Amino acid sequence: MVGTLSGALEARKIPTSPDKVMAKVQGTIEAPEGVLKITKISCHYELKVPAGKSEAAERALNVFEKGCPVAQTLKGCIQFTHTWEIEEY
Amino acid sequence: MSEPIALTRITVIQKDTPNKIREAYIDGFSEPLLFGVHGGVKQFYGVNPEVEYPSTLDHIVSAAGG
Repeated sequence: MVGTLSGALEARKIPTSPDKVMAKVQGTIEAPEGVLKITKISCHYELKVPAGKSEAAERALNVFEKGCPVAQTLKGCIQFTHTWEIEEY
Repeated sequence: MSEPIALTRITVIQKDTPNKIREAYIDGFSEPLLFGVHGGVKQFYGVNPEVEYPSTLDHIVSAAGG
């Protein structure tokens, strides 16, 4: 997710490294039918963006999952949620 | 609704965008996993990183195999 999100941000002229994009990711492991499986992954992004770039960053955050190889691989098996905080500098 | 069996918590940091390098820190372990690109994935994105690391897709396949 972070790699694809970074690509989407860079395309909007928002620098992403070093350490300007971070994600806290939590996977929920359950055993609904007696076998362990990952049922949900929640991703919370912490972005540092230049002043005036928050709206462009939000647009990237709202669409990047469609271009993420991992999300598209796991789509239909795992429920993803995305939340974020954006700090301007 | 039942309680989860486990929650796995990971911090992922974008380290080097031109080389597509990310670090992932799994709670409970100090050494990061490094994600990057190589092979066909590198070619797909049209990048030529100075250092190559396994892609996130490689890690999915590794996990499945493991």
